[in-house]
Amino acid sequence: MTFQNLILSLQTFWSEQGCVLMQPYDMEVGAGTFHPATFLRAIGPENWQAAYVQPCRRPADGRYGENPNRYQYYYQYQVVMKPSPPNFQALYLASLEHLGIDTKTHDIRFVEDNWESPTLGAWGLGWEVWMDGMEITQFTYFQQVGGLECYPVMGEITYGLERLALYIQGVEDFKDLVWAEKGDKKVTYADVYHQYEVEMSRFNFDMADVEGLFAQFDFCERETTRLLEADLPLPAYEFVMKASHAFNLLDSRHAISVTERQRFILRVRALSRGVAQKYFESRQALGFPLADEDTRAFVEKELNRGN
Amino acid sequence: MVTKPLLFELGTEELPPKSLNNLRQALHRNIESGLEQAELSHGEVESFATPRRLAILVHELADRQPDQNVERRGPAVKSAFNEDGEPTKALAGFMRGCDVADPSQLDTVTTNKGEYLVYRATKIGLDLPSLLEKLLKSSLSTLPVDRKMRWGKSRLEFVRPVQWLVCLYGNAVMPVELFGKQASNISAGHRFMSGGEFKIAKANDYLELCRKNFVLPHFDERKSVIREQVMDLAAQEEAQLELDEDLLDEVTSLVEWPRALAGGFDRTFLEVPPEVLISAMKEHQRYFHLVDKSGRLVPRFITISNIESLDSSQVVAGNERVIRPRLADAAFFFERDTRTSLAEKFGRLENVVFQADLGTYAEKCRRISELAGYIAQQLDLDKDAATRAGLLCKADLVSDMVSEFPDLQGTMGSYYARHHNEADEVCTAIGEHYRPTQSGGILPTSEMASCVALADKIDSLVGIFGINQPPTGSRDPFALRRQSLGVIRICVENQLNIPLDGCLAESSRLYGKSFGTTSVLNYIVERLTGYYQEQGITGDVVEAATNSASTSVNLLQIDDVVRTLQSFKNGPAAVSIVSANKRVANFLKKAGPKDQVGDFDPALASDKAEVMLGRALAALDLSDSKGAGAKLERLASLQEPVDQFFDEVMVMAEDEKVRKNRLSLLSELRHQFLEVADFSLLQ
Repeated sequence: MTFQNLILSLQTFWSEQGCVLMQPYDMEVGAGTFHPATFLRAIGPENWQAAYVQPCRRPADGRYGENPNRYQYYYQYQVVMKPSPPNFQALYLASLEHLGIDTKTHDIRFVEDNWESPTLGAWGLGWEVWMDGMEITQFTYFQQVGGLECYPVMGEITYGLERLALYIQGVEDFKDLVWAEKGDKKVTYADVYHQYEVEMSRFNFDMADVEGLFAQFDFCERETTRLLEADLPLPAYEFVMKASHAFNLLDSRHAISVTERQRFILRVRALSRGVAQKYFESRQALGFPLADEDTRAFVEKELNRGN
Repeated sequence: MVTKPLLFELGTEELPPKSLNNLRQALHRNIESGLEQAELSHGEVESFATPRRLAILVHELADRQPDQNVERRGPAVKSAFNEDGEPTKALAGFMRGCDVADPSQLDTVTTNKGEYLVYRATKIGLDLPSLLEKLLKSSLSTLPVDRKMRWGKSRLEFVRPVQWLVCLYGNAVMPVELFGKQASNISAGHRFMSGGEFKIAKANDYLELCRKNFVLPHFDERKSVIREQVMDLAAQEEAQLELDEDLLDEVTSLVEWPRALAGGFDRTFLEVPPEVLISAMKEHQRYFHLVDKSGRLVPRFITISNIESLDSSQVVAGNERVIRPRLADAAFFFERDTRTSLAEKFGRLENVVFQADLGTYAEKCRRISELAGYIAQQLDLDKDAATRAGLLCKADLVSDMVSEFPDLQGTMGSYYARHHNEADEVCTAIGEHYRPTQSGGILPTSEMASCVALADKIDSLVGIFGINQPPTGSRDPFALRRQSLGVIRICVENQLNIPLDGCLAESSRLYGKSFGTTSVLNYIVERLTGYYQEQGITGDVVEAATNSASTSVNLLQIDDVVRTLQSFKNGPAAVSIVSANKRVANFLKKAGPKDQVGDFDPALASDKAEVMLGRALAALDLSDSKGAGAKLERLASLQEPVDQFFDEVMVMAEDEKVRKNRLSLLSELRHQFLEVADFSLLQ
């Protein structure tokens, strides 16, 4: 199965489960969780099911294309279901079988790995899914996002597409993954991305302009605040994503000391919380249109009690 | 009374491995005490835990509470009825309390105070079905869980989402509803090897049915199965095993049907320090590593899978594929880290905060360096080596390897120091200065390493106490309790003959903030009680030793006194010293305010016994005695003159000068005792 067919196959499977197939968000993010289809939709009582591919950038993970499975740019396949269905794990395992993975041959396990994103003010409990010892998926029940309690709970599945493809194709190195093929003609992952990985590693570690990035971070912070004041949580959130990426680049340049690091994280978190709160209010103003009647009533009641 | 076995099984999504066995034990205790409170008699209780279930099997459980005879005394007959024979207020109230409508339902009882009304009834015991749900609910809600979670649309919380519930009494499903699920007799087998759900006809069939469905529910049994499999495989590999019990517990919590498999990695990775490889295998992958006869790591590992795979070679190949990039990453970090020396890395510590009010790690290391030098000098060790090791000991905190493998701090520093040609003893000191890292953990192996380890710990203790943030029962973020015990163990067990108070004062001086050191000193000395208690030495001995009048606190010398007292405690020498000390103390207590003691003046001594004791005391020199044993012997040798003194001399003489002189003699004697220990505290 080629890399692209793996994606197509997951698209088909989750489409049949009723997920909205979204496209990748067109901005730099460190994880599929940053996509508004996850971060923002986890907030408030509204139902939501979506699936999408998200390219992720983690500048500090660059290895100049030399590590067989660690890249600074790679793909996640993200599935979110809210409320999390009772058979969420079973659905996930069915998706593996749909990909042709024999669960009676491979050692598949859910190993505790609780997720916490200090920058998103979010945490959840769940597992990394191991196949023969390799982490191929993150599985999380969100408990809090942007400082707000999640109710109903969104369940999140994040497949590491390249790692999964290593198994399915039986190869050792991202570089050797077949991305597309027709007859004898094969295009590999290296053909598509190797040069990019090498140059971006160089950029992330040595070339990214530190001063410019600090300025960019400050600008994004100001913009987020300004946009939140104008009741525009969605544009504000885009600046949170940009700020977060600038921070990650500064980090890979070793430009932020350990003390400073904590301060930067708190600054991004303050922005995420602001966005989360504003987004919640904006959906409330609309009457939480995608919520079940009972959950909406429950949440409204809680809000009134709080007031 | 009917008794039958009760089975309760809570099926969940995968539970956290590090707390699984604790959850099982807590549930076991909770249910047992719940049954006791409900007065439900029962036989043996067994408990089970796998990643996907917690279960309890109660043997010979009674089907109901025993009936109870109730007897309640009411008002006296004479004050129970008014003139019309109607119940008085007192009786009416009593009847309401007993839920009785007519006085004829009450009996009377005659006591020596007269005749009283009494309510007698038999309270019928409740049956099991009506008690069970509440009992289980409270047993589950009080489990020790760090963080509970919610799932779906439910408002209920548990460790992980609940999937199924089995509750069987004999062969009957109990009417129990928990977490929105109705109990049934349907359980689930191994995720992939079994056919899925299975039905349990009788509670007693549980274990056998689990096994048929590829689940070993018994934690300890599963653990010993894994142990055997791992040892067999290691034998097949002709390798030695360093079996880590914590890791064994963790993998036991990760599988329902264990199968150990061996795999390997490229020999070239052995160039990376073994600690790194072991950490990568253990922390990230939960592999057991293997070593050869001489203890050197071999490029093989053992993993515990949770399946009897249709093709286990694929599982092995997969695991080998995982460990390779992990090790490649470690090699990458090692290569990158060794490009700069520790001395160059030190500069980056200027940006790493140790504690907001106490500055950066660079500042801390400069203090450790000076303090280690000071200690080394006191012990006649190479001062330059100590200051060098102290300065560099934390520079590896900014290395890539330590940020990826935090437990390798120190260890990596020693490798990097060696790589850049630091002296051997400096490398060892850097590598071992965090020791002991846990209670009972290994100590630094050299005196030099002990100096640096001691300096680091003292610096933290003096600083954190200095800003007035001593540890409390629940909060000890800098692990000062452990660090104090570390100070004690290093000084005592590594035999550093050095005054602790001097080190603390020097540390305070290095902070330049005039931090007091009394509370730190007391805190450390207080830890001695626990330290010795673990060795079977009682608190009175420790107190006697630490309350000596000695002007400086030297832990090694205190240890000498403690051990000597412990072995002398019940011997004749100790008995005579204790009794002499007591008599002296009693006299001194009797002395009035006028009898201010001064120096004993032999010229004023008239009685022979008085003169003798004065001479014996003058001849007594404790300072040149090597060790507490010798001192104690010398003190014991005073017994004869002391006894004679008390027999023959009238201490509280009429003549004030004589009296004062005699009291002064006793006071001196008491001081000599106190030089060694406060014998009055011995029990």
